[in-house]
Amino acid sequence: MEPIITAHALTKRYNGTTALDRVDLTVAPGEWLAIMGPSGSGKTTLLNLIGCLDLPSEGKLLVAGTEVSRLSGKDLTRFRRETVGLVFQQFYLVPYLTALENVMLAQYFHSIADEAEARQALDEVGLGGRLRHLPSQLSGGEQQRVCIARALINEPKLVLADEPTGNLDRANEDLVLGLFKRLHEQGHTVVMVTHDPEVAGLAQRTVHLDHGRLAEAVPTASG
Amino acid sequence: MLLRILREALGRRRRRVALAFLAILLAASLSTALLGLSTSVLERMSQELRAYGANILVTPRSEAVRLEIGDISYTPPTQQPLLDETDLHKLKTIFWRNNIRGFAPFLSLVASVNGEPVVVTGTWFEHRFTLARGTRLTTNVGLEAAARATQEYVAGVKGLSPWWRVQGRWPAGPGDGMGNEGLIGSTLANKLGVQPGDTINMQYAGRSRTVEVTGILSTGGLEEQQVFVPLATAQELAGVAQGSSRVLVSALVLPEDKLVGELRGKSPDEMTPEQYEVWYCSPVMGSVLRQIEEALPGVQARPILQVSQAEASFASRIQLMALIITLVALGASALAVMTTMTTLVLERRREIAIMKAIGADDAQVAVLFLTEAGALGLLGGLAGYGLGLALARLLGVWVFGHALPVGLDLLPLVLLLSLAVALLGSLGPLRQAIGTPPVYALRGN
Ligand SMILES: Nc1ncnc2c1ncn2[C@@H]1O[C@H](COP(=O)(O)OP(=O)(O)OP(=O)(O)O)[C@@H](O)[C@H]1O
Ligand SMILES: [Mg+2]
Repeated sequence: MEPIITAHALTKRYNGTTALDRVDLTVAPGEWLAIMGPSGSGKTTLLNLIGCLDLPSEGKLLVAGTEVSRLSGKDLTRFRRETVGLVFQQFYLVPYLTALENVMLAQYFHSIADEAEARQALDEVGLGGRLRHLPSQLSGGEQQRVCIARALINEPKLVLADEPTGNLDRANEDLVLGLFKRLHEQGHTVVMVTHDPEVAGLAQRTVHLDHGRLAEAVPTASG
Repeated sequence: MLLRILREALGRRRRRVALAFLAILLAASLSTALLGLSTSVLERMSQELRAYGANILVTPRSEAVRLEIGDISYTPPTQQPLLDETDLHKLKTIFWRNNIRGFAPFLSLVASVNGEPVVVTGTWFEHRFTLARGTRLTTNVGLEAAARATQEYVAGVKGLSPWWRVQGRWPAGPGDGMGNEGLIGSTLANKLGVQPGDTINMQYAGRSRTVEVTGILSTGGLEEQQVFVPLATAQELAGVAQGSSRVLVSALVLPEDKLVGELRGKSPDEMTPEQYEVWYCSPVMGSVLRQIEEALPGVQARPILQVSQAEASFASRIQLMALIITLVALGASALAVMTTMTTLVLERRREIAIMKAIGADDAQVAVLFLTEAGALGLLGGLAGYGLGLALARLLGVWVFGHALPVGLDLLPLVLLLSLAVALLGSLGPLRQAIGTPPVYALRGN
C-alpha cells in the first residue's frame, strides 16, 4: 500500500540552526509510529512539518499523496483540516470557550458545527460530564482529552500527537494512551512524539532523532 | 456557531471587553455631544443674538432734517413729529404678530442733570398691555378677523435688550413705572458719583423732575452715558402730552433667500397679486416692515443691521473653534479606541494560532475577529450616542440654562465612525497575527 507519509531529505532551518537535517521517513497507513529523542533534537519540528503547520526549508514531503512542501497558505490550511488532527505538547484550548465549544470550533472551521456529534466525541474520551466546563476548570488530563476529542472530531486520516502524556500523572496517562490504542485499532495512522520508552513501546515502530538526524528504527516488542 | 463564539468571547472576557467598550463609548459620546452641540449651539446662538436686541427701527415719516447722533435725536421733542405710543399695541395685530418678540418706544432729550448736560431717555421698562377679545387681527392681505380671546403681552426694554445688566434693581411699578424711578448708565454714575438709592434732579426748558436711581446700567454701549426714566417722565420734561421719537422692534425674520425663487430680489410693487400674497405671508424682513407701516400710519420702518453683522462674524469664529476642538477630540478618542482594539487583538495572537492550527483559514479568523470588533464598535457607538445625548443635554443646561435640541440625524454618523475606528484598530494586528505561521505564535509563549 502507498505510504501515508513520505519524507525525502526533509530539512528545516531556523535562521542558522538546523532543526531537521535531511530526514528520510515513510509511514504506512494505519501504522503507529513513535518518535523519540533528546530535547531539542527536532521532534516537534518534524511533527509540525507533517502536520502542515510549517513549511520545510528543503526536501520533499508527501502526506496522503499530496506534496505538501509545494502547497502554500490557503491550500495548506485546507489540506491540514481535511487530513490531520493535531494534539499538542501543551493543551492549546481557547480559554473562553467550554470543552464542548472548543470541539465545536474545530467542526465549525472544517464545515459546520454539530453539537450532538461534539457531545458524543467528548463522551468517548470520558468527558460526558464536563461539557460546560471552561479549560481553566478542567484538570490537565481532562484538557488533554478535550484536545484529543477535538483532533478526532473531523475524522482525520492522520493523528499527530506531541508528547500527549508529558504533563499527565499515571492515571491520566493510562486514560489518554487507552484512547490512542483505540484510535489505532480503528485504523487511524498515529504519529506520536514521546520521551517515555514505555509509551513508545505501545507503538509498532520507533524512530530516534538526534540533532535533527534520524537514526534507524528499531522494531518494538508489540510491532 | 459564529454568534455563539461571539457571545462567549464578549461575555467571558468581561474585563478586557469592558475596557474596549468603554473606550468606544467615551469616544462616541464625546463625538455625539460635540458634533450635536456645535451645530445646535450655533443655531441657538444666532437665535439668541437675534432675539437679543432690536432689528427694526420705527420712526415718524417726516421730511424735516433732524440732528441725530448715535440714534439720539438732538432736535427738541416739541419741534419734531412724534409717534404715539398708545398705538404700539397694533404691532401685535399684524399678520406676523407672533414674530414680533418685543418692542419699546424711546423719547430722548438733553437735560441738565445735577448741573451736567446729559441725555435723558424715556422708555418702557416693562410694559404690560392686553389685546381685548374682538380686536381686529390681520389674517391676509387686506383681510381681518376678530381675536377670539383676550391676550396679555409684555413690551419694554427689559425684554428687548436682555443683555442689559442692572446693579441694584429695575424701576418697579405697574405699567411703565411709577414715574419717579429710573436707571443711570454706569459711566455717567461714575462721573456724577451716583449710587443706587440716590435721587437725581433733571432740568429741561425750565421744567424740573426728580427720580430715584434704583440701579446702575451696564450695556457695553452708549446707554452707559445716559439716564433712563419712564416714558411719561420724559414726556413731562419735554412738555409733550404723549409720543416717542423712535420705536425699536425685535422681530423674528428669515433671510431673504428663504423666499420662493421667483420672489427673491423682486420689489413688492412689481409683484402680481398672487406673488404679493405669498410674499406678504412670508416672514421676511420686507413683509414685516410693510406690515408695521400698514399698522402704524405715518411711520417709516427700517431694518438695522449692526446686530446681524456682528452675529455673523461671531458665529463663524465660534464655528471654527468648535470645529477645531471637535476634530482634535475626535482624533484623540479615535486613537485611543484604535490602540485598545490593537491590544485586544495582540493579546490574542496565541488564540489565533490555535484556531489556525485546528484548521481555521485566514478568512474564518478574520471574520470572527472583525465581527467581534464590529459588534463592539456598534454597541459602544449606540451606548455612546445615548450617553452623548445626555451629556449634550447636561452641557446645554449648564451653559445655556436650558437643554438644546440635538438632532437624531447624528446616529448613523456616530455608528459609522465607531464601527470604522474599531475595525481599523483591529485590522493591522489581525493581518499580522494571521500572517504568522501558527508554530511561531504558539512557540512564543
Ligand atoms: N521557531 C523557531 N525558531 C528558532 N529556532 C527554533 C524554532 N523552533 C525550533 N527551533 C530550534 O530547533 C531545534 C529543534 O526544536 P524542537 O522544538 O523540534 O525540539 P524538540 O525535539 O521538540 O524538543 P523538546 O523535546 O524539548 O520538545 C531546537 O534547537 C530549537 O531551538
Ligand atoms: Mg517538542
